[in-house]
Amino acid sequence: MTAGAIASPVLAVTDRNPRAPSRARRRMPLALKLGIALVGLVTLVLLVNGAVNLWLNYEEAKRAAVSVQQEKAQAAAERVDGFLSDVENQIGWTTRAEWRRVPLEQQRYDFIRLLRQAPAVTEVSYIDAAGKEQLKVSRLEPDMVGSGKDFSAEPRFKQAVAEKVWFGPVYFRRGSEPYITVAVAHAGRNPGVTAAEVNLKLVWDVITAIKVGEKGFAFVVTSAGRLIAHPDLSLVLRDTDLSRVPQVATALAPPGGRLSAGAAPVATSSASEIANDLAGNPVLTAHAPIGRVGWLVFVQSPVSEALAPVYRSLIQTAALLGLGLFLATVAGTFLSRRMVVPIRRLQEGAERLGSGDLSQRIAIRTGDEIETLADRFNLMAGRIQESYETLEGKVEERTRELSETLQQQTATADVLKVISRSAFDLHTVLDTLIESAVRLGGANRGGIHFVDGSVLRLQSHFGFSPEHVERLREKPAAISMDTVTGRPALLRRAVHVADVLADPDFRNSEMMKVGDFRAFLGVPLMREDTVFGVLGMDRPEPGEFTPRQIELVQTFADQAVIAIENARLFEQVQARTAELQQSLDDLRKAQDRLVQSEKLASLGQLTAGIAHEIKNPLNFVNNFSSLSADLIDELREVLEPAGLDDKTRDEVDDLTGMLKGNLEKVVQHGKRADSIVKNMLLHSREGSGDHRPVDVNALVEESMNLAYHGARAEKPGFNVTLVRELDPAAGEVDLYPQEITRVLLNLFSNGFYAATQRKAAMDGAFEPTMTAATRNLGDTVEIRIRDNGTGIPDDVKAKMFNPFFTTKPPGEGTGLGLSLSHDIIVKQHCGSIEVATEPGAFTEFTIVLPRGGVSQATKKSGS
Amino acid sequence: MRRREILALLGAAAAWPASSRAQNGPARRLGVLLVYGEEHPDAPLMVRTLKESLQRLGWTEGQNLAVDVRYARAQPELVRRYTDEILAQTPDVVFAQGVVGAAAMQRATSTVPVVFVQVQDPVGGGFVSSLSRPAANLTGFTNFEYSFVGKWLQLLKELSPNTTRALAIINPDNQARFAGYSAALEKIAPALGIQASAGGVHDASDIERALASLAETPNGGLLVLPDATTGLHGKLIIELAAKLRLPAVFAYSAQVRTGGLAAYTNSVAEDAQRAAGYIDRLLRGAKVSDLPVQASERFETVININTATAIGLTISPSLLASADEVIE
Repeated sequence: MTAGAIASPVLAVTDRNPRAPSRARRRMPLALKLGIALVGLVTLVLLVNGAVNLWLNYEEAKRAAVSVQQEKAQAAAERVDGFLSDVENQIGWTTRAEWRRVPLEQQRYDFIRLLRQAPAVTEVSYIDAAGKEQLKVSRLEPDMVGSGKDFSAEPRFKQAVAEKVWFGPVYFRRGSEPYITVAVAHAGRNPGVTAAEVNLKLVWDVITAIKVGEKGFAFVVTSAGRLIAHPDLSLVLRDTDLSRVPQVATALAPPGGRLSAGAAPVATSSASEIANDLAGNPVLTAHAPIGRVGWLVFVQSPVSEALAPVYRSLIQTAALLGLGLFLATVAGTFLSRRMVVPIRRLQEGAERLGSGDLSQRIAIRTGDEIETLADRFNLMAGRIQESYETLEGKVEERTRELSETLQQQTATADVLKVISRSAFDLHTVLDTLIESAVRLGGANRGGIHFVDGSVLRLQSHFGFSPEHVERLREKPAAISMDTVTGRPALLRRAVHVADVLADPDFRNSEMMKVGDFRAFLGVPLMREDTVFGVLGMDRPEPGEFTPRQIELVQTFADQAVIAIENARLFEQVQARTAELQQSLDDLRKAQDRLVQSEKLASLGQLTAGIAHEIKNPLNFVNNFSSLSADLIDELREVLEPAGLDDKTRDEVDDLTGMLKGNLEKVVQHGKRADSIVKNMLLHSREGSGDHRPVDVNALVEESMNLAYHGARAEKPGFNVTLVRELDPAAGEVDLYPQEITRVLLNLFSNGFYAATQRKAAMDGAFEPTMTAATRNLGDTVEIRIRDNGTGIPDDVKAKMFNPFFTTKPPGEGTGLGLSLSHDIIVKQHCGSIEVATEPGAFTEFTIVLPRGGVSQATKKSGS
Repeated sequence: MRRREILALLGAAAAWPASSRAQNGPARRLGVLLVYGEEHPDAPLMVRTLKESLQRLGWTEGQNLAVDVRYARAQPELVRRYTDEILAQTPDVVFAQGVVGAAAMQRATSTVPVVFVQVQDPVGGGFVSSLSRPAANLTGFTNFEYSFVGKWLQLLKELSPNTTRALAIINPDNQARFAGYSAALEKIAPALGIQASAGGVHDASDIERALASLAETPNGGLLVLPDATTGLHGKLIIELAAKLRLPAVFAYSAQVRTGGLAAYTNSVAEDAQRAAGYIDRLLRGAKVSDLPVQASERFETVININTATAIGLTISPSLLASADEVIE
């Protein structure tokens, strides 16, 4: 029977998913149930029957086995008793009344014969009527004749005389071999006694001859429980006490009370039980007493052997049970199969129905409940088929809606992606938005328009023909009820026109010609209650837009608002960033200038001190040398009148002339040194003269001319082209005129020098040009001094504002010119001086002067 | 039932014969130390009986039992050597004959179980602590007690009623035994009207001397006590007794069958048979202490009429009637 193949048909129909539960909980097939019921019933009956049988059989067989054991015990007891009787009989041969009259030699011979015939007897003695031993014959000792030992008080004599036969207690020779004394009184009056010592080892022969089944055996114990005969002789010889073995103890202590030695034991012959032997194996044991000696004979055999018939009967019953079970199983299987076939067909039908074959019908003609069930099933299948078809329609509809939603969701997501990816490319974002809005909004085309005054200008579109776009550019839609595009902006809400031709307000027939649209949907783009655009779309066929579409377009419009806002914010941020960058650059420049100024300031303080100290001795030098030159003139005047010869006069004149020349050189170079020192002092000094608003152009013009003429004065062959590019708007700047003049002169003279150098280098084929330019920069004024001289190499450019740095040959420059200029511009006027140069091409200094620079500097230095 | 269960059963079935074979395993080993020489009639009887009895109990020599038999010929050095040889084979059980054999084994091993036969007074001789529970590695069968000299003297007296002197010959090397016999003789003999003494003999010349001196005066009788030496020289003793017309009583019937006058004895074959029973139980794992020393309980009187006639003795009818075996 295949298990699990049959699922419950009821469940298959009612459960939407029949497989999962059937796997989770294994179901028992009906066939199995039927089979189990049938087999179970039969088994139960058979089991009960078998158990009853078994129990009866067991009891019966056990009773039989016990009674057999009992009989065996009885027989064994008789055999052992027979052994004693034998001995008694043998002895009896010497107890005839006339035996005492037999000659001694004959008596001895009789005894020897007795010993030979009764191997158990080890010793035999004759005690006469007076209780005196007359003869003793032993196997172990020499024969004794007339020893006269007195036994008259001994039980063997007294008891034997009294009771005819006397069995003594068991004793053990050399602690090992069991013996018993048997005394038999002679016949006749005044009887003597024949006493024999009987070696009970010989009982072994009797005991071993008793067969108790295959493995059973018999053993004998005394009334004290001492073992005296056992198939294993060594147990006997080892002085084994069995009185503690349960079955022996039970047998020895019958309800009547303890046995006393010699007394006839109360026969508890029926006692028989299952107990354990010495090795602990279960045995069936029974015992029987030997009355006259008080011994107990036990027979015991292994339970398995004794109860073999019981086990046979058990096996028979079990076999019958097995057969019954087998037949029941066969019958059960057959019957359940018969019953299950239609059920299984029903199940298969249910499975097919479950797997979707709703046209399934089941044909069962069994004429019973199953057929009815099948008919009901068919009916149910029909119903399900009907309802299923209705359901399908609903599902389709639902699926369509869902897929539509999904499409919209996806598109929205796409749009969002595009927006986030190209957040600052407003054009792309708007294009994507309008395209998606048109596609999903159920329109053909559409556009995004921005409010521009009272009209709407097309910003982005999808699906518009070029003529349409051109038309819209020429004549943008007005924000009015006349145009559908204008209406949302006017009404500040979504406008939906199912058919423009049916719309009374619509009059833009010209647009109709180009646009060719009937249905329109427009949504305003609003930021903080301000309409700044319209998202509109249309299609050539008239018809309503669904609320979903409107909602969607609204969403896109919102996205467009966000995107536009983002773009605007982005632009703002960019502008702001540029401004910040500018401020940063300015700050950097100021910082650079500050560094330079600080350097110069410290140096200036130093030089001021030095210059002051040098100036005094230098004044002496200068003053005294010029005084000396005058003194030489005076000397010449003094010598004029002196009558000197011509030769001497000539020599004096010569000498004074040389002295004067020397002094002039001293004065000249002293003046130069003085000038250097003055410059140094100037350099270090804060300002000089007064500051006042000065016309920059005039200052530049003046300085330029001054420089030019100075240069020409210095070098007559000097020539340069002067170019003036003065901004008339330059105006006035509050400054220290003489200081700025100094700066400009310095720059011009440098420029002239560089131009001259270059002209010299290029050998005349060069026209040196000097350009001076001014420019109004609002708060500042820019002055540019440009020459086309040798330019400044980079290594020089880095150091050229440092004090005492000069490229001129020694004697031609102090190296303080640019340094001073820098100081004046930056420190004194809060301006900046920068240089742009290209070696071999030009050098251009740019001075930027703030209009209120001096007051700033004063404030700064004052604070 | 599953397939693997069947396989497991098959495996178990296959394993079974192997294990049952293993149970038989290698052959067990039995050492046999006889103090007689091979030519002594009792020696082959004992060995044969032993082997046959063991076979009945399931121990077949050459199959599951190896038996090493040594005949020490009553020579102390041979006794020692053979004892060592036997023990060198690491036997499972040793069978030792007589006081000499048992003593040699007792000296040589305290672990190998020893089953002795034909030992007198095993407690007094120190072989076992008690008859019922031997404590050491020796147990076995005792045949005679010292008091048996009484039975032998009585037999001598009955055979030759004129006997007034008796000499009991035995190897005196085992002093306890010699003393035991001497004491028994001293105690019992006077009651029988005999003046008896024990005479120690070591070899043939001792025997010759002792017998010659005994025969010098009339009415002398000879007791041949059970001993390896007397057993080995049984033939000489019989010849000398015949020559010197000395009535002699022996402890073993074999000597009577080969010409000795008479014996009061037990059955040697029965001793060997019972010893086989003990050997079987020891081989099957029994402990020596579970096997009590057993004493003979059946004795028989054997008389050789021919010898009696030869030395001029007339056996009384009553004695003949009481004899268990009469050799004619």
